[in-house]
Amino acid sequence: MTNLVQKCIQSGGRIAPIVIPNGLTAGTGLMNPSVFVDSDGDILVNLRHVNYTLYHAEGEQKYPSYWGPLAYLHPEKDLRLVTENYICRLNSDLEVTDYARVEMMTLHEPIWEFVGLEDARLVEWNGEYLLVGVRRDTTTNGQGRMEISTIDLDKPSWTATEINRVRIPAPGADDSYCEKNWVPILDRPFEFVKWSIPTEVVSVDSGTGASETAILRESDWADKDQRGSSHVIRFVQYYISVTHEVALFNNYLGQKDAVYRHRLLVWDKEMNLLGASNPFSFLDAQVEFCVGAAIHPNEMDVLLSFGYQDNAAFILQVPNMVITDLLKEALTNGNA
Amino acid sequence: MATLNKLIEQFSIDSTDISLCLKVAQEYERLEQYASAVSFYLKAAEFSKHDVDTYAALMKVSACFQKQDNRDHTVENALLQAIALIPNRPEAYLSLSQYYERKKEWQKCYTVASIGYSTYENNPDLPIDFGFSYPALEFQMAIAAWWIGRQEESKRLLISLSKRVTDPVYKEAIKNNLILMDVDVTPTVHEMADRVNAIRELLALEVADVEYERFGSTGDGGYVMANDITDKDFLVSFGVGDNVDFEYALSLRGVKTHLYDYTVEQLPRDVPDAFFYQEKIGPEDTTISDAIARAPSKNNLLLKMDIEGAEFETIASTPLADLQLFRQITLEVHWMNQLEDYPFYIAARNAFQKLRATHFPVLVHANNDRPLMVLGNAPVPVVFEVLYLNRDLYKFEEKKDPFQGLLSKNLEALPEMGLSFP
Repeated sequence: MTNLVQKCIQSGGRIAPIVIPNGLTAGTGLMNPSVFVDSDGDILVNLRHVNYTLYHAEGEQKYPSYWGPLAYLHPEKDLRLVTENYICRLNSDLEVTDYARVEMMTLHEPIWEFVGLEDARLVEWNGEYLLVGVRRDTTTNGQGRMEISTIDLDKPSWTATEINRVRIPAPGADDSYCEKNWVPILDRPFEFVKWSIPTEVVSVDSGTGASETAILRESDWADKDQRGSSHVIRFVQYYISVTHEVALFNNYLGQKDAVYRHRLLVWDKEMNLLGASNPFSFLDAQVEFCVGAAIHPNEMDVLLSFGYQDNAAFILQVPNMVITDLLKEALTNGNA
Repeated sequence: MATLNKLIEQFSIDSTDISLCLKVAQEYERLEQYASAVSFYLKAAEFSKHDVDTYAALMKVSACFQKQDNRDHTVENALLQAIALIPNRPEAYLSLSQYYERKKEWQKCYTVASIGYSTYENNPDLPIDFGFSYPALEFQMAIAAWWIGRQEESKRLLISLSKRVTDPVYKEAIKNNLILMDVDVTPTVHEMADRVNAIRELLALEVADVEYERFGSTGDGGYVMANDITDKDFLVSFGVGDNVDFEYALSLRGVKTHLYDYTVEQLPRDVPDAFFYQEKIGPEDTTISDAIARAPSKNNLLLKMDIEGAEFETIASTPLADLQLFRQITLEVHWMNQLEDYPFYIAARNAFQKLRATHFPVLVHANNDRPLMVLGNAPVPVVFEVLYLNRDLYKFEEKKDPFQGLLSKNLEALPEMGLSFP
């Protein structure tokens, strides 16, 4: 299996960890960063900070945690898994030069254990910065719905404040348990890929949050259960996005475990799915999650941002030749 | 961050390289990114083929969660896994004992420390230094013993430790605990007299068949040496400060010099044929052996050492064969007021013993800018200089004490008074 980072480094690409000071985080997980290049040409990343550390024993799993091979180790006296978001700016060397906690509005008291806006993708539509993620703390059963938070990002002082929030009901009956990983199609404001295979694109009213299915491509594609990861971006004449597939299972003791892999999916400009690359990992971990894709300011390479075991965050500059190879592989594979 | 960037790049090329994995983890830990560090320590633990790497990685997993606080089960669990992997290593027992101490589970603290203390000493090194020492386990036993009702054992252990431990944090803790127990470990006047006499004997002056000369300026700027110095000699000078008159004076004799001092950026003035190293002298830094290796030759070496209290440990870490290479040694000895501290006394005694094995002291001169103490009924200068001459390269007179065995104490209960030092 391809280690994508290795392939990029060997082709002249670059990997950089995304780190903010311990004083803000107490050393717990920095994860699932979402990269975005804004209209000023700034490389921005929304960095998710969580109050837990993921413990994941890989390989033979000889050293599981007290609770099993995969455990979210929050403080033992606090059952919540709390997310905060930090918007960072990176320089051309992909180093963090500015960071600010997003000051979220207090619209309700969280009433479920997963608190905060999770896996938020950063976009700029109609001149506004938006974080689009899932929130599950508004109901006692953890029902998840996508939300769009409008962020006032003041660049001179580098502060970030949520100034508006819209909760998006699921299209249709709105009776699903958890809607998440709707990924924004960058050049189609307020349109999201809700499902990749088959492809369902949802259009959202930015004022009311009402959603409807805008595109549904029924197909005979084999169900690879590809879930949304990165933004959908234009690359040459295609749309591309990194998606993920996850195997969730329990061991013989009933303890949970998971393996995540990613693929590059390719669509034409009408969102007809053309192909999927072979699965790959970023850095050979079993739990990784890509939450951002952007065209590099050099207009040739692609930036991908990913989390490593929910504990570390990275940004990867993917050389043009590598993304092109992946694209070709996807087109060659087609529906294989 | 540049270091971390580079390590991640290397890791991406070979994520099975466990030593690299550990380095990534350690760098994240250094940046206090404990969650990230855990990912890589755990990977190292799971994939290493060497138990010592896994053991160290599990200890670090525990340490990272300890720093995050409020993850007690995980802190303990990782240490138990390390112990199960290599039960005869002591390090994880110490960490686990300290964990139980924090939780005030005293019997577990004591039991685990005792088991750790009984482990095998000659284990291979771990890839990560945890700063472990067996006295640290004894300290755990001493503290826990108190809380489980073993008061006498606790006192015994602490008193024994007070005579051996040099780590300043532990010394302070031992002292404070003994004070709380109303145990006075201050040496008696007899014990102090014994210590002072031991030092005085080691500094008993010999008379060499040689003339002497003062080189350098008055005050701190000069030293008395045997005047057989020529341009074939090479001076190793530890400790420069703001005065190089001594080295300059020797350079006028054609003596070349290497000078060492980490506290100054450059020499206060030029010294011909001299090279300056801004380096610290000590067993963990630049050693006497290092300086000898840099000298142009191992013949005709002279040593001047004025390093503000690091002299005993520096001498202790020097092989006798290297000390033997110096024809003359002028040494400034510091802080003899600490002779009350048993580990200091032992370090001083051992250093003087070692020097006497290869050299004889011919001159002791007290620095009069420091007080004169009275310890054990004898005067002891806080700082003094000693000139040593190589036993094999000079001729020394045979000495006889005409009064040996003829003098008697007036009061048996007190030590004899020393009227001079040495």
